[in-house]
Amino acid sequence: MMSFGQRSERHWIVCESGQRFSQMVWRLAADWIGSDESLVVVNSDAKEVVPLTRRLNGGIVLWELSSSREVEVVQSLTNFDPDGRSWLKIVASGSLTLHDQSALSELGVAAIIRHPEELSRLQRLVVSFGGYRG
Amino acid sequence: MPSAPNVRSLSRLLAASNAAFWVITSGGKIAFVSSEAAKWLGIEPDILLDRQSIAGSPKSEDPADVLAASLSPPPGLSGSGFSLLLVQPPEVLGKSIAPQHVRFMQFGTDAEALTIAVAGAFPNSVIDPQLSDSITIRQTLDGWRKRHASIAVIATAGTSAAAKRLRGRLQIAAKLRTHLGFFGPYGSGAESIASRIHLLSAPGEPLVIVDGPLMDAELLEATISPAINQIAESSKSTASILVRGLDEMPIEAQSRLAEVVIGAASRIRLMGLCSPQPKLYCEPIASDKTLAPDIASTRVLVPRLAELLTVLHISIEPLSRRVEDLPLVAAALLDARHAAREGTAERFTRAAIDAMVKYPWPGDFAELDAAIRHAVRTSTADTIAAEHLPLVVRSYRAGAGSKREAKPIELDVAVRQFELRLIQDAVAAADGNRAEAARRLGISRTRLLRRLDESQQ
Repeated sequence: MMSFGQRSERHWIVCESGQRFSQMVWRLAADWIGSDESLVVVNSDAKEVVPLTRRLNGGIVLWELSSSREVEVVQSLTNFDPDGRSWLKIVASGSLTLHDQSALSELGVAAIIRHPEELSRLQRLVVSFGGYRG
Repeated sequence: MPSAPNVRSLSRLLAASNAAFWVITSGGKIAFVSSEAAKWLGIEPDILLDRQSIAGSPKSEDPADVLAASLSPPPGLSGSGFSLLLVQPPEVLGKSIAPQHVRFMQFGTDAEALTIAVAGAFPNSVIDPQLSDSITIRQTLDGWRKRHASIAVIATAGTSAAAKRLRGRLQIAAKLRTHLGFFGPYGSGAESIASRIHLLSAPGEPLVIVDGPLMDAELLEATISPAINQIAESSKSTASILVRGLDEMPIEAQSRLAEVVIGAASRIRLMGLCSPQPKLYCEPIASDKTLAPDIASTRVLVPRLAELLTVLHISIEPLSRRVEDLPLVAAALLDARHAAREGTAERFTRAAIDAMVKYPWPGDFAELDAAIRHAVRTSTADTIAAEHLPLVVRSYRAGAGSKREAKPIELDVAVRQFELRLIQDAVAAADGNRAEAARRLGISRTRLLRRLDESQQ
């Protein structure tokens, strides 16, 4: 059983249909933490993201946005605690218009990526993000 | 077959057309270039005829061959019959050519297939989303080839900060004939990069290649004698020495190499291929061998060589830290193999790219190259899917613990400790009666006593 909320843990909540992005988080984010810290990656359903974030102190949430899950993801984003500044929000989608992207920014999404390898570009953002330190 | 007058009228129409277009045969050769296309490219149309037009792989460094390669269709055209690409021709005779959006259409099948490429802006530019990633990769690669034509070694492709830094250093290295240190992991493609830089910075200069780890001082002298003889011929002669695994070369041989290179002033140029962070060798004090570092297990450089290599050192980041470059590097490798007719595949499926980006590539660039070679030979279609990649790549799963370093375990010590713990438990359970404890454990009393004695020593 995983324990949450410990200061030495770095949390990622990944909300996706397969394992494309969570695998990449394991691959990359393990190098972005200190030797005395541990990485916790939780695969979650879109509906469970908000309750889960309330149990944890902070971290990164990544949603994969596909046409079949659009509503769930947007609901999850809008239900997010407005004071939830301890969470860095990332959306992954291969087909967003500029209009979609600006709408997501208004919902507090800090970064939008298309493919898993683009996560590596977010290293500085993730590492410097205060909420990453749970 | 069309009648001769029929073909003649088509020929007249083609010649009179004011559209910029060209025709490529199924064999990838340019069969026709319209006068408007030739005007755009700034050359005579005949120059391009019969030249190979396959992505990123000109037959030679002849500018016309390079130009013909840049006019090739994007990957996936044979499946969809239609595609769009931003064509970015290289400079011709010092004149830059403006990129243009080009619509590619393929007609017919197999050997009778024909591709017509029409340049210009089109309002209906919707293409199959399955192909859009491959086209984006191709356009990025073409941009890289155009901007870095001289140093376009595949290992340097990419958009990451590490790739840009590397290319910046190589641009400088290509303009100077100076000692060079390449610091990168095994399999990083450093040797091909160094050879390319040698050709650019000292064209025509003889290059002697030395296998560092195999050398002793005597063998080194024999190996580099062509370079020494070369500079002895005249006071203006020069030579270069490229040493593989320089930091694995025995210390005596390293010292001798430093003597030769320093003694020849700048007439011998040294290019050393080293591991990412070799240590500096310190001479042991007097004859106290106990103070000497364990050089058998450490990669070291003698200070004089290290000093030479710091003139211009080039760090090559491992591929595992250039994740965002992987699709580009893999596509460039695939282009080269496709152009060499090693297979039919010309693009990767998204699943194949996903598998490649999550794999950590411990063998670096050389391992990726081998994986692409395997995949090209395995695939019989125009795409490489995840199942065409080597098992180790496609079955890799990153996850908790995959990054943890395995702690070394001394099996004998662990077994002795376990045995001792059982014995101590048995003795305690038998209220200190060692004979009873030995009986319960099914061993002799002598053996039990010996183990207890050993534990107290």
